[in-house]
Amino acid sequence: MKFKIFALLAVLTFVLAACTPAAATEAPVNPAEEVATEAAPAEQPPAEAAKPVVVAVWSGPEHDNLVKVAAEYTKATGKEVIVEEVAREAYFDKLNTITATCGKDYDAFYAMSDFVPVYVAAEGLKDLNTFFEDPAVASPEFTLDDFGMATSFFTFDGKTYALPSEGDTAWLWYRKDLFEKAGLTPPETWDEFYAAAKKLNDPANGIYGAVIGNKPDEAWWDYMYYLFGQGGELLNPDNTVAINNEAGVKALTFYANLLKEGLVPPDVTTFGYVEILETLSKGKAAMGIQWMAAAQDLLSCDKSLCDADGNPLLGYVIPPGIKQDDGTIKRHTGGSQWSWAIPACSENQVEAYKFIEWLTSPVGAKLWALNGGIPGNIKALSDPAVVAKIPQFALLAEVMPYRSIFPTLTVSPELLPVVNEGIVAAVSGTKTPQEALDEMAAKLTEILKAGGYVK
Amino acid sequence: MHQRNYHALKIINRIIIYSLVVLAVFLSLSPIIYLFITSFKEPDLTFAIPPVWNFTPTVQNYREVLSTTNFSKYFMNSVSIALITVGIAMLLGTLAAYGFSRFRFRGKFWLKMGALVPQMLPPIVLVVPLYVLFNRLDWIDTRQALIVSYLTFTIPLAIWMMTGFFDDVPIELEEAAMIDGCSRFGALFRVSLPLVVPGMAATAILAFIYCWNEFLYAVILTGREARTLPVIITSFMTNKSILWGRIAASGSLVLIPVIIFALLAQRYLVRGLGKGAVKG
Amino acid sequence: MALTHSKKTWTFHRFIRKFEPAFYISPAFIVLIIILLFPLGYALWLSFHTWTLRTFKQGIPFSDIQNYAQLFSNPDFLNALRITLTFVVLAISFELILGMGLALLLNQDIKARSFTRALILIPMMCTNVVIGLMWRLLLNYQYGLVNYYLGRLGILPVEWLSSPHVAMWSVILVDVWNTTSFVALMLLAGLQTLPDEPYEAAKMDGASAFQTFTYLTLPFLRPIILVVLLWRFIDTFRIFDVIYLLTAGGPARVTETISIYVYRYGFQSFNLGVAASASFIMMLIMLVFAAVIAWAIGKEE
Repeated sequence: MKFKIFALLAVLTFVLAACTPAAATEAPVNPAEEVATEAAPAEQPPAEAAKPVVVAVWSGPEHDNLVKVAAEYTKATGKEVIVEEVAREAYFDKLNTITATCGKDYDAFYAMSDFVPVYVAAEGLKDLNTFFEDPAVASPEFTLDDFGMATSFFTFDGKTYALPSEGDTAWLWYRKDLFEKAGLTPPETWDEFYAAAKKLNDPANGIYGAVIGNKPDEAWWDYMYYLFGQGGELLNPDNTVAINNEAGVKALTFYANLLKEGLVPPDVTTFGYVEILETLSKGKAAMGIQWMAAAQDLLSCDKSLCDADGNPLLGYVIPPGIKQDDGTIKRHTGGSQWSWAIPACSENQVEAYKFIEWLTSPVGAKLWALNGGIPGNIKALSDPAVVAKIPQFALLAEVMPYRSIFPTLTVSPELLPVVNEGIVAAVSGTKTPQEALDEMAAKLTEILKAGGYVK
Repeated sequence: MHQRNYHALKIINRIIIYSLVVLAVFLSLSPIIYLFITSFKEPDLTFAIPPVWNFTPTVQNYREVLSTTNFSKYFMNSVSIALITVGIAMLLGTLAAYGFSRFRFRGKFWLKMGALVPQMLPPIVLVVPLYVLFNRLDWIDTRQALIVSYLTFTIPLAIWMMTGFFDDVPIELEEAAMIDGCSRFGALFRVSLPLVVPGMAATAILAFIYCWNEFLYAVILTGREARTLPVIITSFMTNKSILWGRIAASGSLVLIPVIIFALLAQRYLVRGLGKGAVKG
Repeated sequence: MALTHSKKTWTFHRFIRKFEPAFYISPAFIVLIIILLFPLGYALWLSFHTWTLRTFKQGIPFSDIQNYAQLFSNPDFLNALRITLTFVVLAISFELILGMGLALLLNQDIKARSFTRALILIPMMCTNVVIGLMWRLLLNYQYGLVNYYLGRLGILPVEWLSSPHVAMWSVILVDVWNTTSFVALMLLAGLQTLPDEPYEAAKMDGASAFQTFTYLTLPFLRPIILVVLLWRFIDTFRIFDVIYLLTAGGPARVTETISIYVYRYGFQSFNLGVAASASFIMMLIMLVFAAVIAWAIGKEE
C-alpha cells in the first residue's frame, strides 16, 4: 500500500517537474535606487530579440553588482543579459571544466588573472582582437589605453584575451583612537609596524596588536603584502624563484613571528578575508592588512566601530615599506586583477563582446564603481562623481605604479597551492621559515621547468 | 527485602538508561537545533558571545533566502531528481538483487564487486568525463544529466542492500508458489516482493538521502535551470562574507523534507536495515 | 506433464533457465555500463596519459604508468594516504563502539522508542555542506559555542580547528557525530533479530552480561558489523566536503585526506591525468578492502 503511494507520489512529482515553466533570470533584477542612471547613448531600439548573453560571475558583491549594471545595459540597448551565479567554492572548477572541454554554458565570465594564461594555453578563450579590428562590432570610442598597464596581464603573443575589470589592493587598517592614545602614527616601515603591534597588544583585554590570515587557500593573498613590502619577490624577472632569498626569508620570519609572539589571535591559521574583517570590525586587533573591498564595512557605523560622533575608528594607509638612505620610503605592494573573458566555444560571442566592451567602458565601469565595485577603466576611476563617492580610489591610483599581482604564467594555478602550503607551514610552526621556503623553492622550480619558464 | 532491593535497582537502571538516551538525543540534535535557532536570529547575533538565547525571532533570513534565489524551482528540481533517480534505481536494483540472491552462476562474486566500483570512485574523477559526455548530448544544465549521474551510485546501493533482503526471504516460499503454477517472475512479484517492501523502503530512503545531499555533480553539471538545493547553500559563502543567517535558514529548509521522510518511514528503516544486513 | 512437452519446448525452457539470472541482472548492469562506459573508460585512459589544462592542446603523450609511479614516490600523496587511513581507522572505531553502545541502549524497553530512533537518525540526513559550516561555527575558537560552554565549566578554550595537533580530532568528532547514528541503527536492527533461546540458556548458566555480550551477541552480529564496516570504509575513505569546509585540509596539511589532496593538486590545477590515477589508486585500495570483507561475510555462511 505504502509502496503504491510512493510510486504515485514519484509519478506525480515527475509530471509536475516536467511541466514547470522555464525559469526567468537568476535573481530578481533590482534596478534599485542606488543605481545612478547615466545618460547612456541609447543605441538601437529594442527591435530584434537577440539571443541573451549569459554571463557567469561568482556569488557575492560582484554578482549583485553585475545584476544591477546588466539591467542598465538592457535598458540602454534593449538586449537581454542573463547573469548566472556560480558558488565560489566551485567557481574555478567549473570554469576550468568549461574551458577545457569546449563548454557552451556561458558567453562571458569573470576571470581572474591567475587563470587567464592557462585558459589561453588551452585555447579556451576567444581572442578579442578579432572584435577590436571589426568596425561593425567594436565601438569607435573603445581603446585599450583606458586600462593602462592592466591590459598587459591579459595579452599574449600580441593578442588580448580579456578586458580588465577590478584591480585592487589592500590597505593597512588601523585603530585611529588607539594609535592616538598611545601617541603613535600609522607605521611607515615594518619596524614601526612591529613596535606598534607590540605596544598595542593586549590580549587580556581582548585586543591583539595585529591580525593576519593564514587559511590554507588564502595565505598568499595576505602574506604578499608583507613579502613585497619588505623587499621580497616571488619570482625574479627571469622567472627563477626569488621567494627564498634573504629578503624573502626575513619577511616570512617576521610574518611567522607575529603568531609566535602572540601579537595576532592564536587561531589565525583558520583566518581568511572574512575572519580578518570580523576581527577588525569588532575591534579585536589594532592593525591588519585587508582588501579595499572591506572599506564599505570597515568604515560604516553599523558594521564596524565608530566614536560618539559617528566617525569611524578605523583608518587606512598604504602598507609599510622600506626606508631608504635619503629618507624616502620605498614601497611595493600587492593586489589582484580581474577581467571579463569570452569562452572560445560560446555560441553568442559577438553579443558577448559588445556587452563586456560596454561593461568596461567609461560608462559601464562608472556604473560598476557607483554600485560598489572597483572600475578597471582609468577614465571611470578618475571620474569626479566616482571619486566623490569612493575616496580610496585616489589612493589606489597612487599605488598602481608599484603594485604587483601574482605572476601571470600558464603554471600559475599550480604554483599557488605550493606557495600557500609553504607559508602555512612556516606560520604554524611545523617548519622553520628557511626550510619552508627552500622546499617551496624546489617545488616551484620543478613546476616552472615543466612549464618551460626556466631551464 | 530482596523484592525492595530488586525494585530499587530496577529504578536506578531505568534512570541511567533514560538519562543516557536523553544524552544521546541531545548530542545528536543540539547542533541541528542550534542551526534552527540561528536561522531565526538576526545575522549579527550569530557571533555574539555570550550566546544570545533571549532574542526576538525574525524570519528575515528565510525571506531573504526565498526571495533572492529561485528557491521553489530548485526545490522541485531536487525533489524530482531524487525521486526519479530512486525510482529507477530501485526498479533495476531490486531486479538485479533478486538475480544475485536466487541464482548461482559463474562470475557472481566479481559482478557483485563490479557493481560496487562506481560507488568507490571519488566523484572528482568522473565529473569531467561526464561533463564531456553531457556537453556532447546537449544535456548540460538539465535534470536528466543529474539523474543519469546519480544512477551511478544509487543502482549499486540498491543492488547490494536488496540482495541481502532477498536472502532473508526463504526460497521455499517461492518454490511453493511455483509448484502451484506460478512463473518465477510471478513468484517474485506475488510472494517475495511484498515481503521485502520494508527493505525497499529502507534502501529507497538511503538512496534519496544520497541524491538529495549530493553537491559536486550538481554544481558542475548544472546552471540556472537544473540547479539543486545544496548548491544554493554554498552561494551564501562568498569571497567577501559568509551569510550565516541565510546559510542557517537554507540549511534548515533543505533539512525539513528529509526529516519528514525520516519520521514517516523510520519504522521500515530499522526493520528493513536489520533484516537486510544479516546476510550481507 | 513433461510428456506433453515437445522436445523443442523442453530445450527452450532449459535455455531460458540457464540464462534466467541474466534477465534479472542485465537491466541494471546494462544501464550502468551504458552510463559509465565512456566516463570510466575516459578516466582510465587519462590516467595513462599526461593531460593537464596547460599542455593538452600541445599534445597528450602516453605516459604509461608514470602517473601512478609518480604518485607513489610523492611524499605528499603518501602522507595524504597515511592521514586518510589514520582518520578512517579512528573514526570507524569510535563509530562502532559508540554505535554499539547506542544500539544496546535503544534496544532496552523504553517509551517513545521509535520516536527517539527517528530523532537520532537526523544527523545522518544533513547535507554535508551544512554540517561542515555548522560545526565550523560551533568549533570556532573565539565565537564557537563549544569553547564558550567549556569556558563556563572552567576549561580553557581549545583551538579545535586552528591547532595542528587538535584539528584531526575535531574532524573525527564531526564525522563520528554525523554517522554514528547510521551504525547504531544497523546494529540495533541486528539486535532485534537475535534469537531468544541462546540468551535464556546463558542466563540459566549464570553468564554475566559481559560474557553474554562477548560470546553471544558479538558473534551473532558479525555479519552486520562487517557490512557496516564495509560501507563506512568506502564512505569515510572518500570523505571530502565536511573536512574541506572545516579545515580545508589544514592547518599545515594535517587533515589533508586523499580526496582533498586529489582535489587540490589534481583538480584545481586541472591535471586530470594525475587526478584520474590517484582516484584509481583509491578505488583499488577500497576494492581490496571490500573483497576481504565480502570474503569474510561469505565465510560466515
